Amino acid sequence: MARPRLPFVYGGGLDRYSGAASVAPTSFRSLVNVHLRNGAAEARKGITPVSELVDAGGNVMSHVLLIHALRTEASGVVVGYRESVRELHVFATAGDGSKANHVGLWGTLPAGGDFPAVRATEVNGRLILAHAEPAITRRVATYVYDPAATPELQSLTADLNGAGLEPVKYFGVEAYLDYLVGWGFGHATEQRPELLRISLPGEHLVFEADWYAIIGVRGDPLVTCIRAGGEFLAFKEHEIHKLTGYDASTFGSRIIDTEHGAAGPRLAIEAEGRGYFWSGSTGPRITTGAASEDLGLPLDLEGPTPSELVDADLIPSGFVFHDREKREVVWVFGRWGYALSLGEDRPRWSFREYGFRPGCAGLLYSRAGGASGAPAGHPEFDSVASAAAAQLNITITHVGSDGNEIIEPWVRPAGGAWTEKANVNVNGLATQVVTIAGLASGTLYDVAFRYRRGGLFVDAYASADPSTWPGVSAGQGTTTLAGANAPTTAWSRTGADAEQIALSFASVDPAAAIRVSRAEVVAGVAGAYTLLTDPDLVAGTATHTDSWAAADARGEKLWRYKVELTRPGASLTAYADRWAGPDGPAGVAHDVVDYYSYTLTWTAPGANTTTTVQDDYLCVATFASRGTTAAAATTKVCGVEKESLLSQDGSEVEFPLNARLRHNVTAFGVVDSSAWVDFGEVGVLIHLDETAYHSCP
Amino acid sequence: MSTSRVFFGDYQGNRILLTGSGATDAGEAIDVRAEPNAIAPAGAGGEALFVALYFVLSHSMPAEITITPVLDGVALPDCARRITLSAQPQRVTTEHEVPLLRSYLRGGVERSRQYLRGVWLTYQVSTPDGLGAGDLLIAATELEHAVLRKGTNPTPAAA
Repeated sequence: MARPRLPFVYGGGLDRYSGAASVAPTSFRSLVNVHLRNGAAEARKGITPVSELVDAGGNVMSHVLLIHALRTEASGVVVGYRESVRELHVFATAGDGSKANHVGLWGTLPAGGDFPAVRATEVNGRLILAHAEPAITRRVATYVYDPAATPELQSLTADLNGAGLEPVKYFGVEAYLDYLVGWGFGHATEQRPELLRISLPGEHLVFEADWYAIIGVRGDPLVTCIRAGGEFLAFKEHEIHKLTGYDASTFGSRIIDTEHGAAGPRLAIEAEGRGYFWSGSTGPRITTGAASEDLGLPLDLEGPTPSELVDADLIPSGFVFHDREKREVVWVFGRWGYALSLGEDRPRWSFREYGFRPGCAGLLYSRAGGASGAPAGHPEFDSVASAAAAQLNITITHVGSDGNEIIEPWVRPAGGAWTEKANVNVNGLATQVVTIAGLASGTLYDVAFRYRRGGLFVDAYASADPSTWPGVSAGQGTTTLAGANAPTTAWSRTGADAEQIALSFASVDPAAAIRVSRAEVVAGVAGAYTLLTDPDLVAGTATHTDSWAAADARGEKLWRYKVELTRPGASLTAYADRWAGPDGPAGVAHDVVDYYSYTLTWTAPGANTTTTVQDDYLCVATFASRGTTAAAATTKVCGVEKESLLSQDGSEVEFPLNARLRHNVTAFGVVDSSAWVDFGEVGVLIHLDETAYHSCP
Repeated sequence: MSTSRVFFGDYQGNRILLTGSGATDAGEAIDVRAEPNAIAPAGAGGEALFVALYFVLSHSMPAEITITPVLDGVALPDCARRITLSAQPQRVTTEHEVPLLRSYLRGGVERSRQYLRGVWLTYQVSTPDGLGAGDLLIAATELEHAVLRKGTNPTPAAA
């Protein structure tokens, strides 16, 4: 007779892959390095290095603090730490963890802080990075990594106390619905570790001062926050609160657990709609938006107990991750991991013993089809489509583009230092005109282009020195010279026999020589130009003076100055007209129609300045003087001739005439007159039988 | 459609490491260990004869699995057996019998072999030499036994 057999429960039957029934596994005294699935225990596979973090200067990171997916680009973002100089660096990787490219320096930690822990969350194609340092004075600013921006790393700023935009220093960040939530920060001068700040909906980088919720007791710091089952849960060390409300006037919180909280900023996570967290010395717990429940960590499982972890000071560096494919939540402390399998009839525990000490874990996503990770193609320089004083418009040809890359334009003045200009998205067409703005006028630039996707580049373009990129992606272009170079002019008498016109060159191109010529303008037409500067004025010259003596007979004439900026490949000419004499009357006005007279007023001239008025009352277009004022006068009443014998009886009509006036300035015993200033039409009242007007001889 | 993978970062180092890949932890062998709670087929206070353990393994990896019986709380390394698995192109399911025999030696000479007898029995599974590339699933384990003397509350495996 066959002897009976008793099953050991994970061994109750064949696995489901074989089609037979299974029996749920039971608690084990020891269950190390396995995944529990479908009633069986599967040996876990190994862990393989895929890339290393080295910054742009060739410095090796000493720790890896964060791995986080940037799902919109199917890529990853990694934070590395150089302990020797206390620097936090950001890297971008492919979705398969490879090709860790240095993005930039996030910040340098002040001395004396804890070993750094960082939190991150993705919103709208950006990753928000927060330094989970309890002391605000040692916390580096919250940064935004935006792969489409230039620069890609920028500080998050907000005006939270009416003092203007300042860097924000959140202890942690988490995306929630259409908000970005940050916690642990009041503003630059007020510590509010219990404060939860919520962005404007849809504007994830905009934080208003009154969009916040106070969580629990003031001053009791928030440790971490997670989304779970559609709720936003805020953990303190011994409490859990649920965020309520939807805007500034309704945000608040409700406590859901008064006994248990999260032991560290990286020890809580959402998995399959529930919140899992590690609570101090009591260990792992679960919450679904209500009071938490013990997850029943077997006391006889191998490895340190929760209280031993506390004693060994492993809690602060502990972290939790969710393996979606294995359906496991794993807390890691040192080289030990506590794995909770969610795929069985009830949560089951197993234990991990890693061959090295992990510092963080992250889930990265890679897309099938090749449109993720490093780009496959490259942009080719085609031609300069057009140029302006401060920008170049370059036509590039797309080669092997997937349509979702970002174009990085780089420029340098020929032979100078490279700088990256504003990035643009690939347009999905065969060619694209890329505008590079913010350039100096009249300058020859080297330009180069490359694709980026998820912070990654084709290997040949990975260098930060565009000079090393393939030549097909590089070219040259010259900006035009700036247009605002017409000089300002000023006449002055410097002696009884000396006058001058001073020219000031506005917006002078710093690299262009200046050539000045002069011609007399008669009846609006400039005559032949006389070169005034031989050799040319050197680049950067700001002024030039044209002076003469009385014998030159250049006074009281209109002169046109031609200013030419010259440099290889570009030139620009500007003009300015100047009367060789004082400025004419300004602010001239006439607002009263009088009986056989008119009155003009003007802005007060200098003390040694008289004013002469003429009009064409007697003969159209032929001006006759109405006299000259005393020095410094600001008005003149000009009477016109009267032949009519009628008296003013109200039957007069308004008659138009044209008036003009000029200043006469006496200096060094010489009188210089300005050009005539045509005022235009003025009106006088005359009788209908008047015969004096238009009586040209 | 995207696939997700878990990556680790070094606590002290600069590596990014892919989990679920390869047969070692960055060069360190992986020791799979399992030890179920003991069972007492005859119940507490009874006595049973433990004949054999049967393992149903599904594997593609080459591996050496050591099975060590634990009788009444005492591991019996002299009764340990090794199951040798060879690499397979695809996962195959095999059943392995591990007899629970103990040799009786006198003067270094084996005089007889006896099945284990006692109250509580369990076993330890380990892979001290590490794992190979591929899969290994411990799908089922059963204990063949005979009750010699019944005690109280015979214990099939607790749920």
